[in-house]
Amino acid sequence: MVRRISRKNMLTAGIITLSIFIIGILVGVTMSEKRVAYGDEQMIEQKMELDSLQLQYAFIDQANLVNHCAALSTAIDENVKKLGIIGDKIQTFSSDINFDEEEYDRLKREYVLSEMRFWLFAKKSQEICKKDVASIIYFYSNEADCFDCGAQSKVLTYLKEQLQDRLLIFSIDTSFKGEPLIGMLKEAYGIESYPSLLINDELHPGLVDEEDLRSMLCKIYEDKNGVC
Amino acid sequence: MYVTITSILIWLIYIISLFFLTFWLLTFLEKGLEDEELKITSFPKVTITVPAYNEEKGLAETIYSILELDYPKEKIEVIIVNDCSKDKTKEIAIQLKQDNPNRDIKIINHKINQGKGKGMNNALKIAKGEFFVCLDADSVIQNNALKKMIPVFENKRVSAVLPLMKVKNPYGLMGKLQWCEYLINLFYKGIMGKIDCVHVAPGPFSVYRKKVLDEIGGFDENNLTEDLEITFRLQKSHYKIVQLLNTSVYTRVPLTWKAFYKQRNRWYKGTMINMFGYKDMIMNKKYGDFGLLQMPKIFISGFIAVFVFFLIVYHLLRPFFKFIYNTSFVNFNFDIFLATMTNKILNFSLLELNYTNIIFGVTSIALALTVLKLSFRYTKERYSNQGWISVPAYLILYGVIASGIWLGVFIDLIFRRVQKW
Repeated sequence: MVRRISRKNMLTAGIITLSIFIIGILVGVTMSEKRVAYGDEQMIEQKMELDSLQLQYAFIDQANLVNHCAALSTAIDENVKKLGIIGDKIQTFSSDINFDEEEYDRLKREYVLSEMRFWLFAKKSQEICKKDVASIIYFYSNEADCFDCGAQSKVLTYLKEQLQDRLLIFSIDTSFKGEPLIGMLKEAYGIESYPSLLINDELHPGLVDEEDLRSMLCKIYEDKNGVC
Repeated sequence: MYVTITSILIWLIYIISLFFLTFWLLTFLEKGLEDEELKITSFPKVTITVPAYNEEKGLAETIYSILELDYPKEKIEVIIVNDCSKDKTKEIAIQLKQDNPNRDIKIINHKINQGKGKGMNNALKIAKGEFFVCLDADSVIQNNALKKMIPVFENKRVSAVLPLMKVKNPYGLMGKLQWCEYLINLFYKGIMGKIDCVHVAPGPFSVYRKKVLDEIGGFDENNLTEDLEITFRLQKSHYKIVQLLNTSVYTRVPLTWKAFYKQRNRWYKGTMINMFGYKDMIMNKKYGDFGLLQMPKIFISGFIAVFVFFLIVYHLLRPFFKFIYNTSFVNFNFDIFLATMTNKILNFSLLELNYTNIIFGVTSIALALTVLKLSFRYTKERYSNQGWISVPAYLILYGVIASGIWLGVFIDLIFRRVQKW
């Protein structure tokens, strides 16, 4: 006995399925391109901001306009925050399906460089403005290598919320292999485990909880109000 | 993440599920689901077997639903198989026989517990009917059943006819989940029946042509799911199995998690074991759509379920516990959570959404809701019949529970833990 095979329906179902699948993937690819463009735009803006701040700083230095320091410091803080948000977005973008690995690596690299530029600049501006600011470089890694990174992020965000512009945080994804500067930093400060915090040039490996971080910052600040 | 093995697997599962859903909906559009209303012209003798093991609670109701069938009384033979029950099943069976002296009720008593397959075969040996029915003692049949079912056998290739199976006790969360599950499954089986792809003729009131049962050698006596096995065998002999939606049998479902797990573990494990027994039918053109579509689908569904289980754990439960762990370091401060959320929302851009997943998700949900709507229409039920909670509860919980059970089944199979019936 010959059994019936629904060839027509199988074929139609196959075509419908593949069409929906391909549409889904194509839309994903299109969005991926849009994201890269968006990331580029944001990066250019940040570079411009940094240029402007550097000039402002040079001007303050030259004309001895120390009374402008407060404004400069607020601007630095705001830009570092903004940069952090862009970093998060690039992270979100790259965790999505995309076929543009290179483009994302380039974006990530630009982000890391931008962060480092801001970090160096923030350090330099300290010299003249003498503001009571602590800066932390937070070295993290992907979850497989770093169980406590999520908790460390939470602690840092928590303190940042409280200390506002008195604390600058720069986070560096050490699992990102595209930028040699990261390797250099790791070597220079002897970073081997994650999370690691570099607090005003002093390294603290392992998870630093809220209490410990507070007491570390306590030693740095001259005005200890609201910290310890 | 880029393109990882996990994402490729997810896509594959998506493609496979979407393909089957589309295929069944196309079949539904082509064939429709309205049962032909056949007029009954003759009343052949029907043997109804009630296998009973410790069924003192449900037996009487089951037997009376048989005795009240709208069918000539002298054309119905009832055989109660008491499989060495430890409760009062035997006494109740005898009482039922005494109370209905003008009805043809026979009782087979097993001296030792021999299982359902053996019991059915013993009944088959003495059955005088042209048609042989099994009705589990936890089920009740609608009185128009035989009138709707017997005429279908006019087609000589038809070997079995199945009624719509509904839940008799849709109480509590468990009952409501299964109530919903049965409606969807039966709608789906209705479509499968249209292209000869029914893979199981379940215990509650499947009517078989007795001649065919004799020919293929009765039920398998050492099988976890003998109803599935005999259906595979009927399919192998190219017999037709018809699923009706115009008459119902009401069956009692397990209401505790433990009993439910036990039942499903047996079903799924039986399915897997029988699948291996009939593996030559998988992807075999000789068996038409059943071989090319249904067998592979049943075979992979277990594996997909286990994969989905791990996906759920990995993508939902793990981040949830991680979140709790992480927030414990800031003393579960709510303000920071709020601040982070506000920040995210304020800086949200449409670019952040994962459009590929959204398209896949929306198509899946749309198709699933279509199936849900059609299921309720063709089984003549309303969403609200068992309270508004049942449908959402089914949609959210059922997949998780089924995947968990499949995981248990695979673990059992790996360690060769196979229960007796």
